[in-house]
Amino acid sequence: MTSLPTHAPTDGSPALDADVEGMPTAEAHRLASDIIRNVESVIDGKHAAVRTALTVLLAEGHLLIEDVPGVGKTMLAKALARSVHATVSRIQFTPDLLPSDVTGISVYNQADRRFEFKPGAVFANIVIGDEINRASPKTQSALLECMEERQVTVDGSTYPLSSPFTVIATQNPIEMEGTYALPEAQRDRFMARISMGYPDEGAELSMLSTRDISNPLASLEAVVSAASLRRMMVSVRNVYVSPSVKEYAVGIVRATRTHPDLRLGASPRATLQLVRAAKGLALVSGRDFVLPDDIDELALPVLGHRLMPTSRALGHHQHGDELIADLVGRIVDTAVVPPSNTR
Amino acid sequence: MSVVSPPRPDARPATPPRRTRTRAQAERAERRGQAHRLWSLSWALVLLYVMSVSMLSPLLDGASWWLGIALIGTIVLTSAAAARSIGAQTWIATLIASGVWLALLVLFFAPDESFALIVPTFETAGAFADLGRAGLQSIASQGTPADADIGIRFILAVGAGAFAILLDAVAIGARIPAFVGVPAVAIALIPGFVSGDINLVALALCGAAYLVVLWSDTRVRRMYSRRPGGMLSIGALAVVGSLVFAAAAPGYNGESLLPSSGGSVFGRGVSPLADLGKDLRRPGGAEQFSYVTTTDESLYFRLLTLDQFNGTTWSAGDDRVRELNVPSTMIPVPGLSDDILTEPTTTTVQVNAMIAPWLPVPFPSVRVLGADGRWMWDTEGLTLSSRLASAAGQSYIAESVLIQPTREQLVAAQPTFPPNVQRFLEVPEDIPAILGETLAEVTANTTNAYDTAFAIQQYLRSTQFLYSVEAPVEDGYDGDGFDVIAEFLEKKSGYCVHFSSAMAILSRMAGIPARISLGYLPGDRVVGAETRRTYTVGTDDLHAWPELYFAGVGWVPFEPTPGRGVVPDYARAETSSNDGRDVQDARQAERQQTEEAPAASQSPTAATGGGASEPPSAAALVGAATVLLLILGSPALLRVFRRRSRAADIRSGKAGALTAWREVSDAAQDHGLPVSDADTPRAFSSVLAGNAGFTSGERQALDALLNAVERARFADPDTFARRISGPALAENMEAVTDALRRQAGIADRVRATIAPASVLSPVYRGRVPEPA
Repeated sequence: MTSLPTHAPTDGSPALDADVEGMPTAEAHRLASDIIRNVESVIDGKHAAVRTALTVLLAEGHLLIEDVPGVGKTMLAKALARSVHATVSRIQFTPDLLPSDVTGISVYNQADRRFEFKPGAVFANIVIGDEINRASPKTQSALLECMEERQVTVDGSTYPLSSPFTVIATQNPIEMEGTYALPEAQRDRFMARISMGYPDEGAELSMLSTRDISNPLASLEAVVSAASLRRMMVSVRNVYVSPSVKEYAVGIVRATRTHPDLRLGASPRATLQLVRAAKGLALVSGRDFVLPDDIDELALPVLGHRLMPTSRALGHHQHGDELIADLVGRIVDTAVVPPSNTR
Repeated sequence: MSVVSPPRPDARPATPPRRTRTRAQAERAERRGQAHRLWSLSWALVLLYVMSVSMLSPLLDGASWWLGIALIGTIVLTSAAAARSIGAQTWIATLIASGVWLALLVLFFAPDESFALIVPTFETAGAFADLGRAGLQSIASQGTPADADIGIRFILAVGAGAFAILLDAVAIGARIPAFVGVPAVAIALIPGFVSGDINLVALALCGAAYLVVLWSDTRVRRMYSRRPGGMLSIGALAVVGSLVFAAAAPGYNGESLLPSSGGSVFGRGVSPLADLGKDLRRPGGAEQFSYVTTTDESLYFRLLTLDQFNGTTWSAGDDRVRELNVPSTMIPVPGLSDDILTEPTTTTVQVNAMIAPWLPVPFPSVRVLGADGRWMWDTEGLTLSSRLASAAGQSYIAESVLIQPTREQLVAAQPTFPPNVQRFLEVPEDIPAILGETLAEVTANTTNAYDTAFAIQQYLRSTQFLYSVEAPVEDGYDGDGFDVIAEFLEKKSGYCVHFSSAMAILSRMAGIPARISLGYLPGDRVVGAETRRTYTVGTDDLHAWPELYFAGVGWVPFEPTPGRGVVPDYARAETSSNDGRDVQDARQAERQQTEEAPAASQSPTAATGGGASEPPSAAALVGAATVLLLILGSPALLRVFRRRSRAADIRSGKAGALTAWREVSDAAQDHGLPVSDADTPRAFSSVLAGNAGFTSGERQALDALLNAVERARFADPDTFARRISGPALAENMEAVTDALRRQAGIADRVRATIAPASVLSPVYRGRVPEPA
């Protein structure tokens, strides 16, 4: 366990030490490339997913990886966590997992004759919540509260979480047996949701030859120190977002609210997170300013899990996700990039 | 990367149909959406249609026919569009439009032979056949402008409906709107073929409507497909070509003697009356017509009168009052009062070789019987003309009242004229000095109008003047304008054109209304004919003479040409010595002259080289054609100007990356690549690099440009530094635009030059928002 930060954030946004300085864009870009390369050495052919995952990490958000079992969700989470020299904890969610297992519990110390707080699994820089939708809603919400508040309150005492703090949760699609779907309000806490998808033929073949004999994770080493990670996070905060790109992001989010095929559009928190994630992606790409293309690339991961199609629009779509991807793609394609002088 | 939809309304929808609907329903919904966007194209077609049918207006009287066919075409076009917007397939929409057309025809033309006013029955076919026959007959028998009777209206309605359906099928059904120019130009050129006269302003409007069609097509296509305005270039070429043809072809130069076209006689073809001087100089005279008359007087036959003088030429005014020649009506002789003695005369005319849209009739004729075709009276000039019929082969009886005013009556005429005669006094401002001097000299001692007119006539007939058809041509003053007449008064040699023009101008200057009549001398008596009053008239009898207006008498002919024609009694000197030269002698002399110089047969137009006899509108036509070409070429010119000024601005550092990017975007749009304001610069550049096979150098240039534009648009302005600017930026820009051009096909390149989409249908408008 690392030492706990002494001050808690007040606005729900993650706190970073004031004395941490950002790093030059070029260096941040190099480190980000290192991380991606490192992760990709164990996960073949999933560049976009890895990139997005790192983006979310750098943008101090939480990541939800949703896919069918066995495509490497946990592998991605673990590989990312291991690439960074930071504390990592892993919670395997099961129906009988209790909230106190996540947050920690006060136990009576008979020697000292007082209650002592035993920190739970969330007290780590990177928390991997495996199969989060297998836990009971009560346990789920305990974790999600930590994600939002970045602190744990047990028996009237408040314990701030470590910084950086990122939850990488995986879940099976809700159609699968024995799962409790996350409510919309809780899905909203995740900055982005990605799905891995099946690897292509070549990646799957090469996986057979490399993965058969050993667990590649074992050989994975950290390439970035926790201090560097913090500096990179500061750099992300300093990425410039021009007014036109802000306008563009707001335009896209607003379009989801008025779209006739959507029952629920994206929240203002989504707007905030979209721009924050775009800043992360800009740094990952080696830029100190955000492009509308960053917004485009992140629109589906950031907005996708917050949107709910109307049942009419769902129509023949087997999966709502296909429809959502289609709708977001259309919105992004038709959104005008300001400053537009077409008017 | 805008929403990509199939270019044809009947093509398969891009997305699979929803589960809740059948495939047919989904297709229908898709078609409906597309048809909705095609409305603007339909309205552009309506505009083009109305403009095209308006071109027919010179052929027909009135405007009610126009309203009718404009209504039919508009209804047909909108019904096709409406059918599409409720989801009908293209060919069904065409079928529906045809049905609407048929129903309209039944409703307008045969409601009595129909079921429920619009459903045709077996009787309807018969009624239509009768109408068609009547229309064809009417067209054959009428001159232009024709009276739009029911038959002609029916034929028009049939043709107009077919035209509208064709427009719709070509532009929307086949999706090749550029080709609608072909039927539209065909319609627009009909008046040119019929009358040799074409209204360039209307043609320009027609061309403008066509551009509107092309423009709305590019707009529609931009919403649909990757390649905006597919056949635009071909269409633009077609229209420019046909306009150049229209401006250049002799048939459309307005070279026509039709009174309504403001024709000047002397530079225009009466064919074979073609031009007076030329015909007079031609050796030997072809017989034009023969006649038998009931009078002993010599009859002058008139073809037309020229009443407008603009300083360079005499012409026939457009605003004549016209009246259809029907045997039952007598045309009143303008200005003639009952006091004047008249001799009713009947003349039977047999026209032989003369091909002209006028009937030669004696002055003043009041009725013409037996002429085939549709002849219109000019009620003021008492001449007969026709748009379609010809005098050739006609045989008819002209009834006339030969006026025989006495000298006293003419002397007593007051110098007060009715308002409609006032215009015969108009003389342009810039009168050459010699005309005034001559008039003052000749009329120094005259006290009344008649004496003045007589003095002018006698002066011109005096021995100072020499009749010669060659002298003016040789000395280069042939024609009838101010300059020519001034020179004629100086040189004192010319022929009837000069004498009559001089007298008419001098008379107008002296306050006597005057005009010029054009026609034939009485001709030669036929020896051995049944009656001694049988004459033949040849081309060498062509003549021009002035007519002057005297209150109470009306128009009175004079004869100022020495050695030609017969001086009327009232215009003869009391001693009758000056006109002693016998007509026949003069004609002999003239023939000798002609034979002496048979080679001098050049037309006065060519000889004077742009003098007064030049068709006055030729320059105007060239000018109009130039203006037209400029209008049609303006998109191309604007594009070139824009490209150059942008390149110059970038080189000089006045403009930066955004301007360069705009130029690349415009070039891409011109060459048919998709450009959308929903594209980010990066997305657009990947489209460019994907579409055109860029070399690595060009790709680098594109990347450099992209980098510059992204920094200019999105980077922090406080830390923003221009990576490239000035000449380097311009070079990158040119490398990319050159690559675009190189990759485009020939058709795309031509279209990019002639009809640049970035000008016609810009995605980005206004100034480039360069950061300071």
